[in-house]
Amino acid sequence: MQDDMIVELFWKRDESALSESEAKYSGYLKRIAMNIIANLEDAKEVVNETLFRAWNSIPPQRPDILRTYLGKIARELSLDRYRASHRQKRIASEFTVSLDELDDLVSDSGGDIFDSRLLGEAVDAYLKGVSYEARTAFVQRYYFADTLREIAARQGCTESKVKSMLYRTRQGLRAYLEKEGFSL
Amino acid sequence: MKKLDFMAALNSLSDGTIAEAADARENNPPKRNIRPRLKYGAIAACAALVILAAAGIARNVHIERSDPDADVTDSSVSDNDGAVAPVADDGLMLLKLPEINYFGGGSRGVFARDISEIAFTGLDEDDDLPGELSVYKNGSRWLPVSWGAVPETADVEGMTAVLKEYAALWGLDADSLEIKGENSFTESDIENYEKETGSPAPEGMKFPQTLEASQNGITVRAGRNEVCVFLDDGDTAPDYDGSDPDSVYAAAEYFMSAYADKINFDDPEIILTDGTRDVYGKREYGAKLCSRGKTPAEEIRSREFESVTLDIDGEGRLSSISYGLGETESTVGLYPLITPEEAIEEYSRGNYIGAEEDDVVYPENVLETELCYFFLDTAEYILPCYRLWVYDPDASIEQVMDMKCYDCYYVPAVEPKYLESQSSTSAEAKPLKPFSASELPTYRNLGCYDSVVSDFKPVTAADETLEEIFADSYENSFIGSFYKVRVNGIVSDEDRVWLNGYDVLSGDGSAMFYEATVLYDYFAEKPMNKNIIFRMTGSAQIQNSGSPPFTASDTVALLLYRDSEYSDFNREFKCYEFVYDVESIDGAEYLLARGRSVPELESGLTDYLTDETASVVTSTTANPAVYHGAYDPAELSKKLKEIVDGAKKLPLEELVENTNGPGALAHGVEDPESAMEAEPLEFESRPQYSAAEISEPIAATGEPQSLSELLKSWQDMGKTVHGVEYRITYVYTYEEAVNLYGEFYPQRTLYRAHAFYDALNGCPLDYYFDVAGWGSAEIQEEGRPPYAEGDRLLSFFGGEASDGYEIALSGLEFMLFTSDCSIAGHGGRATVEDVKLAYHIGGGQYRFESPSYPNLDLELSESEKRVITTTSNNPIVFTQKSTLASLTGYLKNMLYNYGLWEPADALAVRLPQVVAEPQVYAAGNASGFAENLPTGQNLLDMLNPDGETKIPVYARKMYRNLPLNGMIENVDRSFMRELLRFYAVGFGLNPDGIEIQEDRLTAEEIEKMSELTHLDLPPEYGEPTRMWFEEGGVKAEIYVTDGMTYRADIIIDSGFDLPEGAKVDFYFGATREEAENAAPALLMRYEWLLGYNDAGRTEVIDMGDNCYVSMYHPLAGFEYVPEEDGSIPEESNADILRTVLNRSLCSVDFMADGAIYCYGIPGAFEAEYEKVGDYRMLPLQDALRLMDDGYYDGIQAYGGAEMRSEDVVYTELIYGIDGLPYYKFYVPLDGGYGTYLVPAIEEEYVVWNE
Repeated sequence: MQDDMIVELFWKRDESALSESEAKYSGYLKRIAMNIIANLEDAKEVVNETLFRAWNSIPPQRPDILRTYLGKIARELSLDRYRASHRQKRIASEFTVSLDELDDLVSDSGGDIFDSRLLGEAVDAYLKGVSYEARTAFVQRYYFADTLREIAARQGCTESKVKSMLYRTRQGLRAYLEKEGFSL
Repeated sequence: MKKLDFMAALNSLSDGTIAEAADARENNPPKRNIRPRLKYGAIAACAALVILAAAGIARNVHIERSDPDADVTDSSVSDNDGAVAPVADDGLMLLKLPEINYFGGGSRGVFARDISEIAFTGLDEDDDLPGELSVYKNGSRWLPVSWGAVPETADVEGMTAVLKEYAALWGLDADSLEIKGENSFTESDIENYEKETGSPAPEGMKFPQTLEASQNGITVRAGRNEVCVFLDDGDTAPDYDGSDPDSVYAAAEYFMSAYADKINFDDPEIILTDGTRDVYGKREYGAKLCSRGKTPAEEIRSREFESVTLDIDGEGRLSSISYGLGETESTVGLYPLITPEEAIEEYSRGNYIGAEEDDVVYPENVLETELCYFFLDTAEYILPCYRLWVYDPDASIEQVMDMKCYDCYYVPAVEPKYLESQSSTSAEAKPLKPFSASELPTYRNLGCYDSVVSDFKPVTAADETLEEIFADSYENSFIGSFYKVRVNGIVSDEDRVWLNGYDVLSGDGSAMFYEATVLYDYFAEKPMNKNIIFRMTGSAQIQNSGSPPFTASDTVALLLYRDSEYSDFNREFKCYEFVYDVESIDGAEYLLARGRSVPELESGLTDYLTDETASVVTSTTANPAVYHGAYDPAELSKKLKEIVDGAKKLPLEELVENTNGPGALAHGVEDPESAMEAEPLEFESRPQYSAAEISEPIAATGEPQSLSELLKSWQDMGKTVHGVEYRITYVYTYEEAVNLYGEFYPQRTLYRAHAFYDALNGCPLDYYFDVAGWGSAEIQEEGRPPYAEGDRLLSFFGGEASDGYEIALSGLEFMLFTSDCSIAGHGGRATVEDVKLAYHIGGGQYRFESPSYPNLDLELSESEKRVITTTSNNPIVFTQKSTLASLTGYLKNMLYNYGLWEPADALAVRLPQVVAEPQVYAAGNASGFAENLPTGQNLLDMLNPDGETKIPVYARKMYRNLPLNGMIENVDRSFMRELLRFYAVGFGLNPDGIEIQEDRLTAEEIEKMSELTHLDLPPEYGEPTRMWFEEGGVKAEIYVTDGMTYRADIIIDSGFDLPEGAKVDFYFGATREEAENAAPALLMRYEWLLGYNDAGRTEVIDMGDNCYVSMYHPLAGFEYVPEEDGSIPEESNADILRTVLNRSLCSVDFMADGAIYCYGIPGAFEAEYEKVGDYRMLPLQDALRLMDDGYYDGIQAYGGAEMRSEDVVYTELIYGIDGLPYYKFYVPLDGGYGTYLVPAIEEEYVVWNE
C-alpha cells in the first residue's frame, strides 16, 4: 500500500493503518532499534511503541514521508532506551561503536548545550554541501548506525575508504559548526 | 555537549537527507564482497575486470579508426620528468607495470559451477595468437594517493563535445541540452591531497569527472573513458533469460537490429561476457558488439577497444548502451609477445600484476589463458596481458553451493626484457666510474615535505658497529632480503590506524609506512614485482639527520626484516639500517649510502663517490640527504649477504653484549670474574619465590652415588623407563592441586605439562598430563627449585602413576635449551642454531662420560652452574651440559643395557584421569549420531565394534583455571585476554590493535546472575567477569554465565540487508525448507568475514516447534564412503568422531534476522581446548549398564524414579563442553525427554567433579 494511503487510514482512525504500517516498515524500524540497543525484544517493543505513537500523532500530523517519520520515532525511542540503560557500556550495538567515533567531533565533558533542532538543521545544511557518498555514509553511520562494512559494501569500496570519508566529513562538520557558533 | 545529545540532534535532519540515505541502503545492495585478507593478485584481476567491463575502453565507433598495422610510436611518450626514458636493446621503451593501489578495493574472484560456464572475451590458444601487439599510452591518467586515486587532468571541453556528439546520434537537440557536471571531490579532498603530496591539486580534481544531459527519456552521460546512453524506454528482447547464453546472444542480435542506426559495424560480431554466478548461484551473461577483425591483432583490438556494451535488465529491456572512449592514439610501440605457456611460467614465479609478498600461486590450477589488454586508471600504459583463470580451491564453496571460485591474474604478455622491473637494466652493464658530488642528479621530489615539516627536530645520526646494529634488529626478528624497491606512496596516519596490523607499534609517531613495489632481489639476483608495505624510522616531523623520509617514486635499496611475532598477519617489513638511494649516473646504477655508516661493511667496498660526503635535498629542504658513499649494487649486496648469512650462523653472544646475564649461560661464555665470585646468575624473569626451608641436595642424602647405581636401583624395582620431553604449561597452586586430586604433597608442586617428544623412541608426542615436581614455593631441595611456566624439561618416568598425575624418576632431570633461541621459557638468548642443549639438574654425583658421544660432556662454565630461576635464595644447580642428541643416545644405551627400556616399549606415561563436569549449563549440541544408517546399521555400534576404538578426549583450558569448583575469584584474566586476542587474529584483526574492555561485576550482580546467595563475595569484585572487544562488526566476549561457567561468544552484527530467501526467523515460525534454503545463503554472506572454507558443512537442526538452529561446522570430517555392502570403512572412525566434535562444540548459529552467533570459529576450538589423549572408548552396552548403576549426570530429573536403561529411546554420542565424549541417553518424561550423560571412555579414567 502506498504511504499516502496508509496516512489516510491513520486519519480515518482505521486500525488497519497499524497493520499496514507494520507489514511495510516493521523490518526497517526493528533494524533501526537493533542497531542502537542490540536487543531483539527491546527492538520489537520499540516497533510497537512507534506504531502506537504514530497512531496518537497522526492526526494532527500528516507526514510527507511515512517511513522517515516512523523511523525518527523509532530512533528517538531507541535512544531513550539507550540513555535509560544503566548498562550503556555493555550495550554491544553498532551505535555504541559509532558514538566512540565522535570523539573528534563532540566532547562529552565540555562544550555548550544547544537546541537539538537547531543543531540538527545545521548538520543537515552542512551535509547538503558534501558529496552524495559522504552524505549518505554519514547518515547511514550516525543516524542509522549501520556498520562500516555495510556502508563500504554498498558503496563498493573498502572500509578504510569509508572510515577516511567519515573522518573527513566529521572534520569538516566540526569546522562548519564552529563557524556557525556551535561549540561542541 | 554529550555525544548522545549530538546523536539525538540528528533526528532533526531533514526528511530528504534521511530518505536519501535510506534509499541508498535499500536500493543499493552490497556489491560483490571484498575480502579483507584477499590476495592482491586477485585485486589486480578484479580491478581490471571492473575496468575492462565498465569502461570498456571500447573505441568510439564514430571516430576514424587508426590502422593497427600502421601504429606509429608516439615519440612524445616519455617518463614524467621529461628525462629520457630507459629503453631496451632494440630501442623499444621499457614499460613500467601498473601499480595496484592498496586501497583500491577489489574482489575475491568469481564463482561458477565450472570454468566452461564463463564467457571468455579475449583470444585463447584456439585462436591464431599474434606474435606482437601494440602497447598504448594511457591518456587519462589518475594519480594514486593513500586514500584512492585522483584524476590528473580535466577535459571538460572534450567531454562536452563527446556528449553532444552522442546526444545528436540519439536524436537529442544538442543545442538545447542542459548539461550538468558531477565532481566527486570536495574541498577537503583537495586540501588533503595538497597536504599529503605537498603539491597543488591536479586540475582533474577541480572539475567535473562526468557530464550528463537528459531529454525525451534519454540520458547521455559522458566520462573520461566512456559514454553511456540510458534509455527510459528501451526496447525489450522477447523471451529473455539472462542466465542462458543463447538467450543473451539472441537478445544482442535483436538489439543490434533494433538499434542498427546507433550501432554501426561493418562485419558485426557478438561477444558474450561474464557468465559468473553470484553468491546465491544465479548466473548472468552480458553481451558486447564489435567488428570482426581480419587478423588476430585486429580482432583483439576490436574486442578490447572498439566494442559497444549492452546493459540488459532482468526483463530483457535494454537499459543502456556504453560506448568506450579508449585512448589508443598514443602507441608506444609494437612489442613481441610471450606464449601462453611462458605466461604460466611467469605467473608461477610471481611475475603478475599486483603480486604481493606471500601470495600463493597455483600454476597447476591455471584452467584458461586468454590474451587481452590490461588497463587501470592509474596505469601509465595499456598493456597486452594474458589473463589466467585459476581455480582457487580455498575460496570455492563447492560443498554448500556447488560453486568453484576462479581468480584472474594478469601476466604481462610482452617479453619480460621490456618490463622495467624485470629487465636487467642496461645501467648494470655499464662500467662504474668515480664521480663527484656535483655530478649527482637533481632530485625529483625536491622539498615536497617542506609544507608539513612544522616541528622539524633532526635526530643526530650516530655510527654504530655491526654488532650493535644486529643486536637491535636481529633480536626477535629475522632478516629478510636486500631489495630494490620503488616507493609508491605513503600510508596516511589515519589509514594506518585503521589498517589492521599497523596501528600498534610503539614509536610510530617517528616512523612512516610506505607502500612500495619490490623490483629486484639483490641477494637472489632476480627481478621481482611484489607490492609490500614497509616501515621506516623517521617521519616528516621527526627525522633522522641526513636521512629524510622517502616520497612517492623514490627508488631505494633496503635491507628489510620483520618481527617474527607478527609475521602471520602483520604484513609490513621494517628497515632501519642499510638504506641506500638508487641513482643512475651516466647510465650506471649506484647505491648511495645515506644515514649511518657501517664501517665493517663499507670498508671493503669500492667507493665511487670521490668527495667524502655529498648533500642532496630530496624530500625536504630542511634536512638534505647526506651520502657518505656510492657503491656498486652487485658488490655491496654480495658483501652484505656474506655479513647477514654469517650473522645468522653466529651465536648471538658474538652479536650481543651480554656477559653477565642469562645469555652467558646459554652461550657458554666463560667469565673469569664471575667464576671467582661464583655468584649465581639470574634469569631475566624475576624470581617468584623465596624458599623458607631448603633441604640438603639429593647427592648428600644417601641417594645412589653413580648412574650405574641409580639404574641398578630402578632395575631392582622392575621399572620400565621412558624419557619424555615436555613443557610446563601451568603451575597449579597447592589449593588447586588438592582440589583436583583430593590430597597433595605440600613439598611438591603440581604442573600441567605438554608432552611433545618421546626422547627414547624418537617420535613426537602431543598430549597433556599433570606432573608433580619436587619442591614447593616454601620447601625446596637445594639446587632444585620449582619450575616455571614455559620451562622445557626432559624427565624419565617409571610407569606407575600416582593418583592420576606423574612423578618423574629422581636423578635424571634435565632442563632444555631449544633451537629457537629461548632457554626454557626464561627469555634467555639464543644458542647455536640447531643445537639443543640439556643441562642436568642437581645430581652432581652422576657423571656421563663416553668417547662415543663427544658432545655429552660439554664444558660447563662457572657462570652456568648456578642460576637463579624461580627462587631468589635457591639457585638451580646444573652439573653437566650435553647436546640432547648425545645425551639421549648415551642414556638409551645405558637404559637398554640395564633392561629398563626396549625400543618398542609403549610410553610409560599413562593417560591421566579426566574430570567429568556436571553439565549444568550445556552439554554440547546434539550430534545426531545415533540414527541408524539407511543400510540399517547402527553407527554407534560400528564405531566401536570390538571395544578397541580410541576416542580423543579434550580438556577445556578454562576449566583448569577454575579449580575451586569454578569460584570466580580464580578468573584467569590473562587467559581471557589471550583468547580474545586469538579471536581477533581469527578475524584478520591485529590483536594488539583491539581494545579489550572488561566488566567487574559486584557481588550482588554475580549472585543475582548465578541465582546463588551463598557465594560470600566481597562487595566489589576485583577480577573482570566479562571481557570483550568490538571491531569491524565483530564482537567477541568471554563472560561468566552463572558464576561458575565461562562462555565465549562471537557475535557478528547482522549488518547487510539480506536477500529474499535468507530472511528467515530461525526461531519463530520458519519451515524446515526455508531454514535449509536460508542457511547456505547466510553462510556465504558472512563467509568472507568468518574466514571459513568449504571444508565445513552447513546443516539445519530441527529444535521443534518450528524453531531451527542452523549450524556450520568449520572443521572437516565425516568424509566416509560406504563400502559396497553398505559398511563404513574403518578408517572413517576418526572422521566420524571429528564430526561429532564439530556438531557438539564447533558451530555457528544463525539468529533471527540473519545475525550470527558463533559457538566456535575456526581455530577457536584449538584455542579453548587441548587434547588430553586418545582413550579407549566405552562400548555402548557398558555405558547402559553403568547408567543403570547410577553412573550418569542427568540434565533433567527423572522424577525420583530409578533410572533404567530399557527406558532409553534414543542414544547419541556427543562432546560435552568440558571436552569429554558422552553417550547421551534420552528417556521420555512427562512433556518431553530427560537426558542423561555417561562418559564414553572407560570409567577408570573418569573422576566426577561433584
